Amino acid sequence: MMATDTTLTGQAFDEFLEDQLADPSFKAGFEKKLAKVNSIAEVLQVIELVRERENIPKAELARRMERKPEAISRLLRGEGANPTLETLIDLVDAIGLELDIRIKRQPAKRNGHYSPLKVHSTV
Amino acid sequence: MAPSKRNKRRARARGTDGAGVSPTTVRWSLAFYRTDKGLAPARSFLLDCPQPVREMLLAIVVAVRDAPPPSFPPSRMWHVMHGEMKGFYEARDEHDGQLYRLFCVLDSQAPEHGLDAKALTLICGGVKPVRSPMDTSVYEQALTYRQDYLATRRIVLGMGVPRDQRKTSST
Repeated sequence: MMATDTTLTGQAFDEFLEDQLADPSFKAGFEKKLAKVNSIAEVLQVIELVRERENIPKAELARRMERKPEAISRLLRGEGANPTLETLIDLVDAIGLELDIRIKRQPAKRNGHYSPLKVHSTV
Repeated sequence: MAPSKRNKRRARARGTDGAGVSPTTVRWSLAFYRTDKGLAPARSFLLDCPQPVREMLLAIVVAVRDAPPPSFPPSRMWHVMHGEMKGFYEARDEHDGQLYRLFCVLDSQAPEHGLDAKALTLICGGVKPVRSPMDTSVYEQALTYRQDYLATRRIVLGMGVPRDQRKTSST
């Protein structure tokens, strides 16, 4: 369940969001998008965390991926075009990770927090 | 592999334990900037957006609030702005050939200026066609609003009552 705010500062936003979520179609779309946003953020977070932990400079990453350093900087800042699956594979390979992609049917019953992308990080 | 001291420090700043990703413990609140005339430009912008865009922009800012930077990474949907808009972040979405931008300020100093939490403050928004620049007046307005916000920390205040009672009292 999404956390709600308990501060006066956040009260007006929470009330606004609560009003929006009262519409079932909005609630369904919002929860699906929130799950997707969180999944994408987690992928990027894990990659950057491992890159920092392994002390791999962006220039070295660029060399390993056979890309220009500016392109890697843009990639890690999330700028430019959406990275392709090929770029993502090159990126995780360059920092010593692997992607484990399993494609399967969605469950018949999906709750509001369902996301078609699930991130299971073991790093 | 044990994380180094430096990475443990970074991990603490990120709200992680240095050995994996976990939710941050730092709590932020989402707020709407309010003008001196009582308007809330970001709220009006969101209400004017098509529903799928409103869903996405709100999902982004809620996700950022719950894992604020440096935990939440910049990406195509949560962008660190540069140039004259340095200091702004923007939540982004694309819909029917239009790019929707919600301009935000991460205000870690808010508690020192009268607010009761660090604030991810929604300032205002803008729309532009794909592959075209944003009208400069939109940026100028956002900069003016931000300057006013930082000078006043004026935000929309909630009613503090359950939704059913809010509806009753507003009619």
